[in-house]
Amino acid sequence: MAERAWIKGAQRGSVADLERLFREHWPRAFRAARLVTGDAAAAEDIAQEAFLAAVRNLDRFDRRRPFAPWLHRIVVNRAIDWTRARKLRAEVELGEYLPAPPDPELNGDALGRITELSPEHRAVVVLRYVLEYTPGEIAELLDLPRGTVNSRLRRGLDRMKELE
Amino acid sequence: MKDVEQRTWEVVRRAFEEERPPVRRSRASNSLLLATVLAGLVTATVAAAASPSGRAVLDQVRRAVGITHADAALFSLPAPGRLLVVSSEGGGVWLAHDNGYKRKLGPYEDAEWSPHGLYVVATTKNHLVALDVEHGVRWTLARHDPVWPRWEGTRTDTRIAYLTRAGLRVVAGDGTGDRLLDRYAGDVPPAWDPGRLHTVAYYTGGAIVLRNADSGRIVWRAPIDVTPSGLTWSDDGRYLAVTSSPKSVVLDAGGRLRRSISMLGAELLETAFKPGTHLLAVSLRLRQRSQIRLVDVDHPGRASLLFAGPGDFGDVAWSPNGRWLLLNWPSANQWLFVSGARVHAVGNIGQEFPRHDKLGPTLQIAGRWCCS
Repeated sequence: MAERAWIKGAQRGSVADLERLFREHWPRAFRAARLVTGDAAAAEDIAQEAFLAAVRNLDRFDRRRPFAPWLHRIVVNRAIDWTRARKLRAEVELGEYLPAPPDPELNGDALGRITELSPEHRAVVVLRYVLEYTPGEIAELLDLPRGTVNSRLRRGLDRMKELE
Repeated sequence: MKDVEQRTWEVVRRAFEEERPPVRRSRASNSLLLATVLAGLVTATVAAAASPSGRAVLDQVRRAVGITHADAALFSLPAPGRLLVVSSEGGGVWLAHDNGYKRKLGPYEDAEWSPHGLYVVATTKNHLVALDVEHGVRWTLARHDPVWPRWEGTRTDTRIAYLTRAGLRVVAGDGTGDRLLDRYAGDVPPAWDPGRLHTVAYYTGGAIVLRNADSGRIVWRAPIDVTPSGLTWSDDGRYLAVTSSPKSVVLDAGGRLRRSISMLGAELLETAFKPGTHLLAVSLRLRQRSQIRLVDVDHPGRASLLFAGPGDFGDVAWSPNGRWLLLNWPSANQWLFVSGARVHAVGNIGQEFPRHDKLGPTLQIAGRWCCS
């Protein structure tokens, strides 16, 4: 209920309500982007872009719907695009791209192995086990058949187990 | 992590304050007060531009966009230096001094400063022209359709690179030794490397090439997967920003990719390094709005929103001391001088540098604010 009030307030121009909305949702948006990209700087850019998109589309946002899935859809799709683009750049030998230093959050635990997965597999694993969406919700967020979500989850987890 | 969150919040808050109608903003944000965009601005603009009667409508739309309380004329520049202004379609080249004095240098199509601001190289339909701004033409060189002249060098030894239909050419600053450097150079303004004398970066064959203009030796070649619209070096020659519509890639002095800058759904228009820094001003268009962002190339993720507004932004130019960014805002018929949170607007800018047929001019200022 509080979230609806914040959105309503932000739609009326309240900076305070927008800040409540931002503080509530930024940490998870940033963490999701960081896990999918494996790059803190890129995650900052992506989370920022997602919130700027939210600001631009605030007037059209339906207050009856939850804010988080809408935001996470932008974050995860953009993070997948960024990760794919980085791989493409490496393939076309566009200079020596300098990767960010290893992310301490990703080292040494199960989530650390997520960087071994493809961007598409990373995204569903993050949405399921970090942001705690159901497979049905993930299918809706990423515009995928539910069977594809399930198979990506299964393959992703299998791959992470192989790396243990 | 809290730093990152706070930094992002500042950007989001500022964007929000610029998006919302003015009555909902705090007094603190009034420096960025924008008039509300009329609904259907783009449609109205396109329709209005089609006929003389429509021009009045276009003017009304223009008056509805922009900073309120803009100066009625360019009374002065906020920082020392002189500015070359190229007014397209017969408007010629103008020289504006920091005290508000301005004069027309001539009916040229383009112009750029010499490296120390002592001379100007200009183009006409069939000539490359070197000018002393006080005493007039020093020399001319007849060439078909010369465009984008760029001048570099020391006080005693300079080169001018320029493009013609026959490719990229280079001539010495005294007009001698003109020669073809690359027949296949693409239609992108060349950019002299400030860190290596007589060495120019340009686009050719799907790559950015850095080449010594005297020896012809290629220093490096960096393939890129986009067609660039502009090249700009940082003052120290450490970075070269290659700007295209979907993204700007920043190469280091060795031609290696250091950063790729893009924004979801945005079209990048122009980039300019702040003098003496690695901060890159990025002008971009997002649906019917435009933004200027300041990106720290050394620190990925650090980007701040300098200014946003409806319609299209044009050229940007830094003051020589790096304190002010001049933004051409054709949709508002204004120039904006932006320094942090301070924004100073000059209105009726099209009338300051008119073109011969009284239509609104396209003003080019990028890289032309020189030499305090």
